[in-house]
Amino acid sequence: MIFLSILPSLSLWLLPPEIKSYVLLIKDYTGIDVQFMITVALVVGLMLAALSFAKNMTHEWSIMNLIAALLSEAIGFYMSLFLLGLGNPLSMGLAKIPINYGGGATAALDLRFVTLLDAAIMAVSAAKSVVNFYYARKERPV
Amino acid sequence: MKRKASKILSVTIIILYASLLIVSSASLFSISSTLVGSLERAEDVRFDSTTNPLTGVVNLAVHVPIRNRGIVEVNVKVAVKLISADGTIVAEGFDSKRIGPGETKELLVVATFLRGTVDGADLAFECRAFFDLIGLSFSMRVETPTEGYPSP
Repeated sequence: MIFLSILPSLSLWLLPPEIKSYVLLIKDYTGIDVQFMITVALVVGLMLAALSFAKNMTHEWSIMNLIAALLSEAIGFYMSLFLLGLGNPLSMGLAKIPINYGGGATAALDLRFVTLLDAAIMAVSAAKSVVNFYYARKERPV
Repeated sequence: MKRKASKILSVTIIILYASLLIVSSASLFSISSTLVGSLERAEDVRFDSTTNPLTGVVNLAVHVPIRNRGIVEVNVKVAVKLISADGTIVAEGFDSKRIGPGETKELLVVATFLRGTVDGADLAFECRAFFDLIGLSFSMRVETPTEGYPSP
């Protein structure tokens, strides 16, 4: 919540105007919309905070607890795809940045292996949530 | 049983997170350091060309020194495609080298073409690290400023 929502939003407000103009320059020259990325991070941060609250307010054997845990993992993975793709989660870690300086230049950042590792982390975390739910349900006091 | 399964999965998650952090930071640091180190030595890029006055064949050699200031080995590729006015590739050359941390190596791109046939060039630079799994590449088109110029 603090890292995804509060800090990025505050930093954008508190930035001096010169740095803000650089943010606009980045958008003009590369198409990377930093303000949009921070807005998405804010929304995702709020969603993760709400899911974390829901998870902590329910018992481990509750189906709501499992849904909140799995949704958190999925949203966290979406957020990393969004950041690794520099605002385009469908690029799956291969961000292509057109550089508009008057000629036809393109930069490409290939982070597909990092995306793969991230997907593995999400899968193992989801498996952990399911295992915890399964055993909590088995050991649940009747 | 629950504790054991959960503990195994927790340890796996920690190992995966640590790998992600180490691999991505070491690779990105090495790639960006190599890029900055090479840009700082941009004035050291050497162009040698020889023209056969009888046939008009030009041999162009581009020497690109690359310095890896990172902490892991990087694989650097430089490619040049020379293009005619109608967009066909007249000549192309590329070179790639694996450069260890702290090393400087020179990449040599050679292209042979007929004088007066080249109207532009596609230049590409690629730098990859960690078994070529993480990379950064640049490509740009350069037009030769001959069209539209008044003849003397």
